[in-house]
Amino acid sequence: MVMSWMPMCLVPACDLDRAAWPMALAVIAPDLTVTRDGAPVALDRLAPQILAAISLSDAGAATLARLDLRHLRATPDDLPALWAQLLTEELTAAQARNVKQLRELAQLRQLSETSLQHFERLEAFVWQTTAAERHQVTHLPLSDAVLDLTGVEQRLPSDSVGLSDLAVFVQDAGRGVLTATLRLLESDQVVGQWQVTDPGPGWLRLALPRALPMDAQTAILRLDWQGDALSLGLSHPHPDPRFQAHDGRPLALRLWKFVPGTLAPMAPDAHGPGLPKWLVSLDALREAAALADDPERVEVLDWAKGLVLRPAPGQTIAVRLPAFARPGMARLQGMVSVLGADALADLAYAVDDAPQWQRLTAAEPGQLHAQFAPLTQVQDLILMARVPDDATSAAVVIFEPIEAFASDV
Amino acid sequence: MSDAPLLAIIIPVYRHSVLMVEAVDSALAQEAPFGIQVVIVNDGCPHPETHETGLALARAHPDRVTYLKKPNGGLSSARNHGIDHVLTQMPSVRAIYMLDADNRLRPPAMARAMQALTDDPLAGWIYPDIDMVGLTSGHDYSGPYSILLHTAMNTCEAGSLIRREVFDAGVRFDIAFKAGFEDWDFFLSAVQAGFRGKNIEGMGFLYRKRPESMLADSEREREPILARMRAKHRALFAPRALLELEQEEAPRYAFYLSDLGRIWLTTDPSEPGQMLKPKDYALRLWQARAAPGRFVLPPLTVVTQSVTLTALRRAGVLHNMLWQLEALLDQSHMAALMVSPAEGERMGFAQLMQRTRAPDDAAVLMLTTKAVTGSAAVPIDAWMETLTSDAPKPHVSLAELTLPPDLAGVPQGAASGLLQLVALMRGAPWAKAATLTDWREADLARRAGSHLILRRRMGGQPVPPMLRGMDRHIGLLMTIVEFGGVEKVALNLARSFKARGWKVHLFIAAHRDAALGPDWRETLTSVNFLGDPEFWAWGEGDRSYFGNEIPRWAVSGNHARLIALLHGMDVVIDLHSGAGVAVMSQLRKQGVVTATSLHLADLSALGRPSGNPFLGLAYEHAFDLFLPCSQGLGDWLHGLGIPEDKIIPVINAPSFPIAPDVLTGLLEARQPGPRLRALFLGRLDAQKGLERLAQVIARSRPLPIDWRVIGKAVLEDGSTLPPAVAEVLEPALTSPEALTAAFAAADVLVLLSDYEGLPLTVLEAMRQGVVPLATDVGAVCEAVGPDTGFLLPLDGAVPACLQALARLAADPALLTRLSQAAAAQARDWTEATEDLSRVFDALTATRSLSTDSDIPPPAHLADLSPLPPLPPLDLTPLAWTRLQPGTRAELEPFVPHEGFLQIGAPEGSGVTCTLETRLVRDRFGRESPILALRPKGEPQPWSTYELVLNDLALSQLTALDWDIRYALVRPRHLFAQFILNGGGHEVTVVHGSLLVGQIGARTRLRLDLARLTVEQRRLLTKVRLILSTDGELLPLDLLDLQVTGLR
Repeated sequence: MVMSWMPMCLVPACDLDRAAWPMALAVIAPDLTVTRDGAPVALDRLAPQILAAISLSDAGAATLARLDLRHLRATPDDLPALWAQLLTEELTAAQARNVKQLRELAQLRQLSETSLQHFERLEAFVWQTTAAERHQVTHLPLSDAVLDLTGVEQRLPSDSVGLSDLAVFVQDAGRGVLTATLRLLESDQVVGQWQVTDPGPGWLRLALPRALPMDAQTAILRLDWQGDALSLGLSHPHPDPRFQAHDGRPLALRLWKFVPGTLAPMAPDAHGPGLPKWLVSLDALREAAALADDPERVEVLDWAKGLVLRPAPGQTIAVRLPAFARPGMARLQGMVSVLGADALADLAYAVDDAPQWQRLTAAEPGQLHAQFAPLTQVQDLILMARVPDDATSAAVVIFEPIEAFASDV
Repeated sequence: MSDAPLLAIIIPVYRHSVLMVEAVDSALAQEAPFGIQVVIVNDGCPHPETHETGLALARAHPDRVTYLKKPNGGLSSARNHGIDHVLTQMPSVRAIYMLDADNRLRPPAMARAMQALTDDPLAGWIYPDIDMVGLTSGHDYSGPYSILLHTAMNTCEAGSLIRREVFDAGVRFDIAFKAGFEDWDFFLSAVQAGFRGKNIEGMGFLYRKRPESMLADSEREREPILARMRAKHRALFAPRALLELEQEEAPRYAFYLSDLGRIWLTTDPSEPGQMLKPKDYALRLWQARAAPGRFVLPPLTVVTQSVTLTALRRAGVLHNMLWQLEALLDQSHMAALMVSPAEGERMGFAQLMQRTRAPDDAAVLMLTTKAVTGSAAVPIDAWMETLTSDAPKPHVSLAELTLPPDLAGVPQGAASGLLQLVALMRGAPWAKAATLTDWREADLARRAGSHLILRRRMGGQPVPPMLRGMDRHIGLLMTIVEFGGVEKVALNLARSFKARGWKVHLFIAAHRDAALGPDWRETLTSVNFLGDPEFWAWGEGDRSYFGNEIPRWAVSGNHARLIALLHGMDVVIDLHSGAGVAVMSQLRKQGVVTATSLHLADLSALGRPSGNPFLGLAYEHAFDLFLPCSQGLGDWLHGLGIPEDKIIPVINAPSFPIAPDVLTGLLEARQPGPRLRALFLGRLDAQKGLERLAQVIARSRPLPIDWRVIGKAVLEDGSTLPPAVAEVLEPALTSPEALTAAFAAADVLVLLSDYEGLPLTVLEAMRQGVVPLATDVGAVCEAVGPDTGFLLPLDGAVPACLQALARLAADPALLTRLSQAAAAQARDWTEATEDLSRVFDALTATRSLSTDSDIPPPAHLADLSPLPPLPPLDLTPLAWTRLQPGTRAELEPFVPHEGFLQIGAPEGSGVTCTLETRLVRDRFGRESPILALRPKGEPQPWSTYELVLNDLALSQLTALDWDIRYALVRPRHLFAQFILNGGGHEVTVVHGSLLVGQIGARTRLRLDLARLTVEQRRLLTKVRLILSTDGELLPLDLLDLQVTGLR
């Protein structure tokens, strides 16, 4: 039951029967105990409701005189006028306060709207002009231990500020549905939820569209599995029980962060709500290079900030990024360059159909584009480079991180 | 959900007229399955807006918000105003949360905190981690609550949920703390009232951090505020209490016992501590590395073997060696102790200044646990591996302990043991992952250096790891222990106080080794070397007190080191330690009873009296007692300004005992022979008047006298013994048997000294009927008179001595008469120390069992011995509870007759009690039953509770130990006394104030039945333990009550 404010008048008990009182009363006894409707109540607690204190006798006046109520003291004759005066004063003051606060609220609203507009422009600028990458901040490596999953909770070894992605390692895939829930301990809020059907083996990356805000909290990941057996990779034993998911070990885990509270392109291999932009990051290129079987000709070099391919004349090299072409994707673009004296090469992003080759020489670093009909299913993305048979020298080709766009961007 | 609130949030407001809305809003937005009342306290804020906003909030939520306005009195006053309002007006409220007006709560915070409080009946309050907004950061306060840590830092945020019982116990915010840290003070008061805190993680408390805040102000004024807090919570900050806390909460040492393959955690190696397998210890080690604020790990690691600890313990040096190593460790990476055999019955300690020994020769190695962890964290630590090579890279401070050969046979190889420990830790499964840490900063990382908390209280010096327990400890401070008279007095003091139940400790300030034979070792609890190379008893002083030099060390030495060494004693007796007097004043302030045992004044080269008695005059204020060895010296001290009350003569007595039947036999066998047998026995130095002795020997040749001179020449100025003396010189005797035989073979003792105190040789000779002929110096006249011997004037001593010898040689009857009179004057040390013992009992009962001399004892227990019996109390039994027999190993479990214990409150005390049993969980999650004795009623001037054991056969016992452990609330002041009744007799044994024993929720009371006569023990059959508080109603939650009898 919610009570509302009831203005009332404080009267001494000895004066209670002497008049018909026009408003709600609190009665004060000579020992200064106060009752309302016959029930004892603390004067302190009642004070905000008392608008007037009235005595009709010397004894009553003596009782009230023991309290600091001078500003409330009145006589019965005064009461109607006083009542009107008090209400008027209260109303006037409340209106003045109300107007003042509305004005302040308006100022704050304008400031907030302006800030939001500026933020939206800034975010759009970042979105459109830079290959803003979600940064991996934590990597708990895989050990040889696994967890047969039914349900498990993992406290994340990082605060929530800017958290954007996390990945667990599926050791043995099964058929079924994996439900992942990300909850913040302190506020007990769920800030992310994913359902993945028939997850394949390997790192399973789960992405939030917008990095979590500045409010630092402890994030807890809960995973529940329904289906055939599914095992997750565990990391090395950790002594702190807070981080132990199973058998004294945390899950093998990777975490990414981005600017708190902002949108960022998603990794194509991440599960999450659809965004019209993806980013094939340097880390993704590095993992693809690791899958290639020719480390002499395929590698990621940090100084080059990209994937380096070294095709010989007449040779074509292709690097596969498994399942990196996502439904809705219709356009790819990224910086490419060719190094080497008199070097030239044909480069292409291949998705679905035949590659659209684009020739590049050492003198012409630039962007490589690919445009295709919006994809309807997951496919592999292939980066290709070849050097013509008649070329006089080998080429060094660099693919930098690739932005991918939906058709409507 | 009931309308009656279960929890109140008090929000004091001063100058936060706008931000307060956020605080109130966050309080109103709590998601909790119980009612929450918000109490806004306007602390006389000068902004009218505060009043308007407070009124508006109260009017908007009349059922959930109470608005109180009061004149400005500061944060503490405002909080107290709100608390008092809640306590008087809201009986349904079980806990109160303190929320400052510029802070906020997340919605689940109060539900979580209340659940934690409900789940843990041992928790008095729930304190949060602190997530700061504004200047953003997160701060982790997780892990077990530690009182020790709380004395060093403010570990509990005011924004805590506090159980109503804490306030019911009278704990409030101190309005004198206006510059901050009032919350620190509040929780320490709660600790002293018996409550403990508990952290919950992620509670949801948001603290507005500004570049400048009240907290920043208090940090600036930290020292004065801390000084005030230490003064207010003396009992908690007392070094002895901190050491108890260290043992209980954060043991200082991890002993790796390589022969057992176990790690033992303890501060005091006389305490049981905790023994762990390497795997279990490795888990703790890596936990502490991952979260140093959350997990407790001993800061120091000691590598040794169990047999070594046993040997050091038998020698009485274990605590001292740990202390020495800890001090050495401050200067190096590690500290190593070599143990070597001494030549004979001697013990010694010295730091080896050069690398003369290899670390692996050490029997004990100490290093920081951080160094162990650091080494174990890398796959190969080449630096550490060199420890067992010819060229070790770690800097190891080496020290050598020499012990009598039968104790010195301890194994070496401590460095190898260390590498073994590191390998064990490195091989643990957690080593790879322990770098993963929580995102909040570990604000309690000071746990890793918990031993430094006590150090800071002791001037930065390591503190000996010796707990006092419930025993009484007496320390003898000496510069040298050889075979001199002062040493003999010291040994006999030690024996007599040991016989009275004291633990006796020897402290050797100057010399690096000492003659400590079995007689000493059997008497002493511990032997301690100061190990300060700068300490010299005398010399190099550039100041004097009425012409007597003040030694340099007394003015500018490392006093803190000696104070740290001695502070744990109840009594310290200075035995001619010279410069050691400089620490006595500080010790006295810390509650130690200080006494100086004085024997004689030295003479300077030109004959000016000087030495320890004069130094004692200079430091009169530092001593509680002066213990002259003679009445004459006592009179001298009084004449020179020592108050009479402070002078307790301890008159010398023979230094070694002779069995009564043996002595009787010796005296009966004594018969004058045809030739007089004259003896000089003692140290042969200039003081002894050797020239006079030589003249007497030479000039007495015509007389029928056979001379023996027994002793060791210690002439310092290069002079030689007079030929007449050297001709008859025999080697010194040290054993009681040899001395007895020497006196038995003598008729007269000749002692022609320039100066003396009251020589023990004279007393020992007289005991066996040897007639003394001694110069009238010092207090010789108190032992030698015309009826017992010849007191010779110093001037003219030679002819007087010759005359006396001639008379005795010629008059066997005179010799026999004097001999018998001399023997009749025998005295002993028990008698000599009787007065002193009584004074010590009185002083220590009022001082050392409490923790600070400035806290007066309660009036009715002030005079502890003797105390008139209390009037008998008519007990009304409330319940009967089966007593669990004790299980302690060292004492035989005592099963009381019928196995019942009666607990009750005195009739007419105005107090009624309810008794119940319930399960409680300790902080380790272990459940145990407790007996909860809940008193109700008006507090009396003295509330008293009795625990009674009936029908005991006390004659079979020498002591009863009562172990009492409290669950939740411990009275602030608790006093105990035992009353024994039976056969119409009543005897009261008052144990005294028990504040020290209260730290850590456990109290041990020992009823020393040996103080009673056998006849009394036969008659008495009922033991009543009476626990009294100073008016506080004592909720006696007994976690454990064990009564153990010692037969």
